[in-house]
Amino acid sequence: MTRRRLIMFGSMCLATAMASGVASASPEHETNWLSWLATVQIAHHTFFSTPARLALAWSLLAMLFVVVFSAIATRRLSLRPSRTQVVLEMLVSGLRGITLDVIGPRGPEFLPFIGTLFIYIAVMNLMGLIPGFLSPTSSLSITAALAIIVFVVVQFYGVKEHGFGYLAHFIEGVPRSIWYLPLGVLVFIVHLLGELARPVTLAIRLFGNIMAGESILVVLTGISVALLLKLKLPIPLQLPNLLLEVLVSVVQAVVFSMLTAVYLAGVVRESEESEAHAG
Amino acid sequence: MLYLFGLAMASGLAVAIAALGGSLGQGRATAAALEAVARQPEAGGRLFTFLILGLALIESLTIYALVVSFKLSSLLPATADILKLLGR
Repeated sequence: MTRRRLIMFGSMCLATAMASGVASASPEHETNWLSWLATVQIAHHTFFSTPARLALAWSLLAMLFVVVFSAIATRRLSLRPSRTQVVLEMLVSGLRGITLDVIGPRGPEFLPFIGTLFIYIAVMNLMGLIPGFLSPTSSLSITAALAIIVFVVVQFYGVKEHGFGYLAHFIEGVPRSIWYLPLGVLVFIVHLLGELARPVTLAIRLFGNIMAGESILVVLTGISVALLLKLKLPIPLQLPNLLLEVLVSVVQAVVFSMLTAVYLAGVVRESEESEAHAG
Repeated sequence: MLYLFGLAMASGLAVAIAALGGSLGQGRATAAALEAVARQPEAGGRLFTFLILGLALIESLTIYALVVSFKLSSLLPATADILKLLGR
């Protein structure tokens, strides 16, 4: 058997073995390479006992991978770039173009933040598609943490740009007179709810997409395994969904980072407009 | 029993109804994007970005319904327990 065929066959066997582990478990507790962490005791306490904490362990793995890969790939940057360098440069310049497009001239200031969000979320999403790995983003805790970070950053930049006049933009459009106070209060509450809805929707969008994808993969893989065991037909039924999940993973990372850029543009651009009006 | 029936129906219908509205919206978005590309093929790249972004945002509403459906279906008891309850 040629080496390539051996590798393909071996990986299919591995995937089926993993899938049988997956199919025997409930969708909420997929067995994965780090499931054993749930039994590890540090000072008589198991830390990685809940699914959310296992997802945390996976996210640490993703962070480690991104850091190590970046460190190795950017070791010897040259004016005659290697293939990896070309790809990475395309990625960074694409992200930079998006920030310039969405946020305007101040865009590249936020490139590290938005770029990191994109790369980190894309890696986390794609990780789950490898058999035996778990997407950290299939846990609401991880996505909520990311959404809270985005919320805090956006509010911080809002206060930084406008000072405490930032609160004034919540009651935009209401004439500043005592007779309009009830209307002002209502507008303030509605706008506040809108602002609070943003991290909620960010978190649930990413979580729902990735978790639903994983659930579908688990169910289809279970059916494929049953088909293999009962009817001896090795058909990977989850393959079309796997390909769709690759697209969905990347698209959701794009959507998350682009929405962050849009929210930042909302707070950063206003200062430019008011300066233009004043000047 | 009505509670369980309600849970099961809601968990099933939630995604079905949400997918109905979502797919109509996505169809309109895609049709508009295709028309725009047909008018101006060189704008295809930028339009593709906007299309993907718009589709993902519309889809997220269907995903919210899916999350609700998952939460509801996790409240349903296992079939064995229901059979025991019915005395079979």
